[in-house]
Formats: sequence, structure tokens, C-alpha cells
Amino acid sequence: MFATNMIFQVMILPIVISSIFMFAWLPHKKETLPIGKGFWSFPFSFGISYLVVYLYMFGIPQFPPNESKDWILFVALLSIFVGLSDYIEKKYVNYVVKILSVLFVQITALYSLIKNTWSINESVLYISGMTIFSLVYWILFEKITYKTEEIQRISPIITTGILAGATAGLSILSSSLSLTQISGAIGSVHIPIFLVSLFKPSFSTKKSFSSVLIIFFAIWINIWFYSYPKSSIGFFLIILAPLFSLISEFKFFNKISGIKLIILKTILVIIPIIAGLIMSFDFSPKDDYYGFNFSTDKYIYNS
Amino acid sequence: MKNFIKKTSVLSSLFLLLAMPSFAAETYDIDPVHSSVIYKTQHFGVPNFGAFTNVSGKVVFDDKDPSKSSVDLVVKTDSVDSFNPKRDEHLKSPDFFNAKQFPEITFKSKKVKAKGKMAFDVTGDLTLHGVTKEVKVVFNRVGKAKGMKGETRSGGDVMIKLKRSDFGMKEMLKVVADEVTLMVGVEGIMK
Repeated sequence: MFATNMIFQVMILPIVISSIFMFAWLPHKKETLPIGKGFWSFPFSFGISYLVVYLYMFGIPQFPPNESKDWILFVALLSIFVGLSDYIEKKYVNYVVKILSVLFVQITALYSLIKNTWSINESVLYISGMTIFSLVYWILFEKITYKTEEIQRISPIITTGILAGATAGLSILSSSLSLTQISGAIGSVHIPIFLVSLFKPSFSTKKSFSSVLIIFFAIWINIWFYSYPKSSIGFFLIILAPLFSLISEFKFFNKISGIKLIILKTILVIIPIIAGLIMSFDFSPKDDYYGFNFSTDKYIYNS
Repeated sequence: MKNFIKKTSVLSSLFLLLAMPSFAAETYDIDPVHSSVIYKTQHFGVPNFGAFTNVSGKVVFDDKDPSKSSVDLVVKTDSVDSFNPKRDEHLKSPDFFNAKQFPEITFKSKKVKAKGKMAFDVTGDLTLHGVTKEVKVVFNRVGKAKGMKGETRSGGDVMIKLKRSDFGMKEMLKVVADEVTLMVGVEGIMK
């Protein structure tokens, strides 16, 4: 019953809702916007799926939320606007949106630490450091997702889908089932996006990944500051994994194209993720938390 | 003779003053080594027990005027001990206590009323998981004795039944019961 409910929450519900939005753009055959057909469907399918899944899983939180993870619901709402704002062809607007949304995610997620634990200097240091890190990450991430070649469009979808799975893995290894559910749902939302991109070359997702990234930022902050990641290196290997696909742009790989290039990029992302997950795995002796300790079947005395 | 009476009355007043503390308020600092909070919940309907091992605070007993008594308890959330380190980590995560965000569970009494010789009705604010709710408990005072170093020790126990969902702890309600019973035992050292 519990497992069935989990599958419904993390897989079926997000897939169904995102499918509705992803396929909703199909009748608009005459859409001739220069920014790409169905540009709105990715941020909407992503954000709305998230809102529904979150509300189904955790109910309506109070406002302002008591727990930092409850702010992820509002980040999902923000992600729609962030995804759409990326289509505004004014760089300063893009940067202002990026900075404000990164600050929103950080301040809402870290409010309790800023208020109760950190000094003013620590808060300023953390927020400014993380803002710079997030913006650099975001700009590099755009280099991966702004691909216009037809077949290469599916590469960033595969990358962020794998990243969602890896983040779910990282969450469970950091002892948080709720963050695992939230991360897993991102992966599920990717399935219809992937299918539409695969079979409809005219569909453009190239800029919409900002909406995914902003939710990843919120989840990663929650894992790092409130859960129990086992390895810092493992954590950073996983979150930085998408950037490893930039290695494929080295001259050495110039001759590789098409499907082979997609496979290469996927491998470049998967390697640090596997390394990160292995590092994050708790190799301490097994106990009976998730099952029974069969070693106790034997009597401890012989006579 | 007049001088003698004067001196005697001053001395007897002083003696009376020294004897007064047994009637006045007694303040006890809670001894974390001899205090604990035991919790009882249910996992798939089966009773499960655990404890919080770091309890501190202050208890004031005023025998003369019990309404002036008070109880202040602070329980460190990350001291949760469910007899399994992995489960402890899960309990400390955002799924349950969210110990890094809410490092303390506190109880502050607002109103104390005697309920017999050794029991008190205590109304106070219980803050758990960042949510504060007024609760009413019965505090049973259970003795007073001299410790190894001659210090005066006294304490009491409290039992609290609550719904964790009332405090925003709504994860895994189908697996771990909503109702939780807390058994608090505190031993204080008189200041």
C-alpha cells in the first residue's frame, strides 16, 4: 500500500500532469513565434506538475511555511516565471531574474539558520558565496541546454533526468525520504518532455531548463543544510555532474556527432554521478532498519 | 538585661531567616545525566520506543505558593536515540524532527496549580518542530534527597500525549503513528 502510494506520487501523477501540458501545445500548428513552438509548455508542465505533486504529498503548507522544504512549493510556482522569463531577449532582464530567484531560494531555505544559528557575517558570506556559485553554475548549465541542433535537443533532457534520479538517490542516502520524493518527481516529469522532444523536432525546450534548475537549487540546499549527506565530495560530484558534459566540446571530440555525441555526453554525466553516489553510500554495517537482521537467527550460545 | 533581650531577638530573627528557605521557592537546575524523555509511538501499529538523552532546564518548587512554581525544559532534538543509528538520522532529517532547523524542543510553564500535595496542574507552551502549542500536563513531584556531595536533589515526571501532525510533523503518517506519548523524568540539583 505504501509502495503503491509512493509510485503514484512520484511517477504516475507527475507523468500524467506534465503529459497534459506537454501535449497541449500540439494543436497550435500555426504558432510561429521565433522563440520556438510550445515554449510555454515546458515551464508550465514542470511547475504545475510540481505544485500538484507537492500538494498531494504534503498538503497545503501554512504561509509563510514553517519548514524550509515547504518553500519548494513556492519555488515551483516561481519556476514557471523563471522558465518563461528566459525567453525575454534582454540579457539584463535574464540576469536580474537569475539573481532574484537565486536569492529567493536561498533566503527562504536558509531563513531559520540565518535567524537562529549564523552570525550576520556568516549569513552574508554564505549567501553571497552561494549566489556567485549558483550564477556561475546557471551560466555553464545554459551552455549545455542551449543546443539548437535537432538531435542534440534531447541531450539536456537526458542530463537533467539523470540528475533528478541522482538527486533522489542522494536524498535517500542522506536520510530524507520527502526530498527523495520531490527529486524523483522531477525525473518523472522529464518522461513526457523527452518523448515530445524525441518525436517532434519542432518542439523547443532549449531555454526552459531554468525552471528545472531553480527547483534543483532548492532541493540541494535542503539536502546540504538539513539532511545528512555522507560525503561532501560525493555531494558536489553529483550536483556538478551536468557540467562534465562540457568536456565533449573539447577539440578532441570534434569529430563525434549525432547519437554518438549524445551517448558521450550521457557517459560524461553518469561517471561523476556513480562516483558521487558510491561516496555518499553508507558502508557502515547493515542493521535491521529497513528489514530484519537475519544474523540473529542463530543462538548466541552453543550448549 | 535589655541588651541581652535585644541580642537574643536579633539572633532568633536570624535563625528564623535561615530556616525560611524550606518554605520559600526552591530552584533546581535539571541534571541532564539523570533526566530523560522517553517517547512511545507505533510503527505499522507495533509499539516502538526511543528517547531524547539531552534534557536541561530549570524547575522551581514553591511549597508556600504553588502558583509561583515553574518548569522550563529544553530537549536537544539531535539527542534522539531510537536504538538504531540509521533510524536516528532519519528521525533527525526533514522527514521528522528536522533537527538542524529546529534544534530544540522546549516547554515553558505559564500557570501552575497545586493538585494534591505532590502533584501540579501545569499549563505551558510546548514548542516542537517550530510550532508552539499550549498544553496542560500533570507534573508529579517524586521526592527530595541528599546527593553524594550533600547537594539537595528533587524532581518529577510528566506524561504528555500529543499528535505529531498538530506540530507540522506530517510525513509517513501511514507508517509511523500520529499519536506520540512522551514520558519525561527530570532530576534537579538545588541551587
